[in-house]
Amino acid sequence: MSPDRRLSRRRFNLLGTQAAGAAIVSAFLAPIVGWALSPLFQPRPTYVWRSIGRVDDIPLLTPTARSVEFPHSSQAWTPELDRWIVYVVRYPGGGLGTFSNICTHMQCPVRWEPAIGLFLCPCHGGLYNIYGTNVGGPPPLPLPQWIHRIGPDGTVMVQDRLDEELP
Amino acid sequence: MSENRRRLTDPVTSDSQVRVRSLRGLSRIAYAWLDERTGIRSMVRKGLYEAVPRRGAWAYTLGSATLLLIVNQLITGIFLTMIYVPSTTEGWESLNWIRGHDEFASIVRGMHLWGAYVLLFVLGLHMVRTFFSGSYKRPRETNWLSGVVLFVLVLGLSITGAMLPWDQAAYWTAVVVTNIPSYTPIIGIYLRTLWRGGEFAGPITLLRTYGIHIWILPALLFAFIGIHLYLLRKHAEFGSYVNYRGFFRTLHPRPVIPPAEQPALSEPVPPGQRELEPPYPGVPTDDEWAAPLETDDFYPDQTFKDAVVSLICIAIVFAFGIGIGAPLEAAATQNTTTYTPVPEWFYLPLDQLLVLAPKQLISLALWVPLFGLLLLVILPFVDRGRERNPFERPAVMIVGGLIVLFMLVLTALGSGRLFNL
Repeated sequence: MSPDRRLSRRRFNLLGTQAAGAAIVSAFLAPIVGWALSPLFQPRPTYVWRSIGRVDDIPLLTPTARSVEFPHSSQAWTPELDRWIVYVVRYPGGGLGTFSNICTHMQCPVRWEPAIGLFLCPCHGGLYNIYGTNVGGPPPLPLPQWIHRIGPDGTVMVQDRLDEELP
Repeated sequence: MSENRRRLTDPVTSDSQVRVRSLRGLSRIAYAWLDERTGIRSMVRKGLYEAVPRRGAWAYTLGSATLLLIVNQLITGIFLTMIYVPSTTEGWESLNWIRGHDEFASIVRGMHLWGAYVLLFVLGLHMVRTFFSGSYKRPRETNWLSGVVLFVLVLGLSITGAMLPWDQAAYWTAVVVTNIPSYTPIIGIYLRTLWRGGEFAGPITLLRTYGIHIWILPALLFAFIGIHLYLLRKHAEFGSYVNYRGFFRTLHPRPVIPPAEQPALSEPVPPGQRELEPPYPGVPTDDEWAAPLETDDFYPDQTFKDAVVSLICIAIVFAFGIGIGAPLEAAATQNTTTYTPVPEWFYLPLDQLLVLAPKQLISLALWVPLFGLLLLVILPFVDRGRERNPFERPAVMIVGGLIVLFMLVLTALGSGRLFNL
């Protein structure tokens, strides 16, 4: 038995140990990493439309909170629905706002404060005016709106989709 | 034949002075039997009769108190898994049900919450003590680093634990905390989606956070506690690079023994005395090393002080766990225009940064805690001088003091929100 052969046997064992170890670790990691990353590759949820009442009933220049039930965006197994707030407001020019109350800063629940005529985020003091435009505090984007449409019979429908991606 | 028999006979039992005439004699024989097969005698001796410096003995109790509070979290946490259901539909219900139905379960939950609060406080004191005494200096840099990892793990456990009850407080904590990674450059939105398991916080968010809280972080925590304790014992009482200079040397004058005059490690231990520890690093260096003048045995001198402080900690946890317990607000819902989310108190400085940072600086504000973490990591590699006396290390003390002051000011600014003022 030559020294070369002994060395190669040792090297074979070394490489074999490493290869087996790598294969075992891969077998553990592949399904776990795949599962952990799976939310990134979920199919786009099917968006739904929900009625929030007739456009004539929406008060002028006074944002009013309505509740709307949407299915969970990506978590289909629970029977529960997500109940979200829609702040509806009609503008004199005939425009309509259907704001979510999700603050664009840290997604806290924004509220309409009639006393100051602004939307206020109670977490970090973000302020939006009646058009959802940022007027103070840290929020980086305007208040997002649920996508809406007005049916031929004057019914306001909102979709479980926001008009901007939240930062 | 008789020669062979004698060689195989246990040294204690062959001593002929010990006879199985009493329970004590029997237990000595049993202990000797076990020691021959497991080495338990030397393990116990090594574990209990470690020499610890006599000075600072009360300050040294903070580490064992931290450990005991972590054990409290482990025990109460294990039993909470039999009380609480990690579900958005049933989680809050399961905690709501125990109120009025199962007072002992309420106490377990109360002790878990107050245990976490006291743990964070004592852990902070332990870090400050280590910082003041310069105990992170050579050769204990890795001990400090493992402590930094433990600190981060405990913070992670605290914030993930706060999300689990799925009441309003927990839900909005989950929303805000899972939203913070979204300000990471480029991959931020993906990080948020991965943690939430979707666009918004919901059932998958809760389940993932639960798994992280009860398995992943605790597994890492106990692994690093093992490393932390191993390193503590490895360096023993002679932990730091030149312990006693300047001010301390005047208190404890002790000549540095040159390696040649150190007692040999192989010297037999006289009966009734504890084994001598190697008083200097195993690898000879050109630097001076010194040992504390006076030491106590870890057991029972130090353990008594440890036990007193640990008892006080657990008494506080027990009293607050029963007396105040863990609150449970209304069940979680996004459907609110009145709820005001309030950060956990230990999270207040970071949250106050979010209040103060204008929209152009949100990312920057979120890098501040990471910068603080970086400072903790590099501390033992920056403050490498021989001096351990805090009064002789003004630069490090001032920077550390300013950081603590900064956090206290942020906490004070935000403290009104803790009480919804």
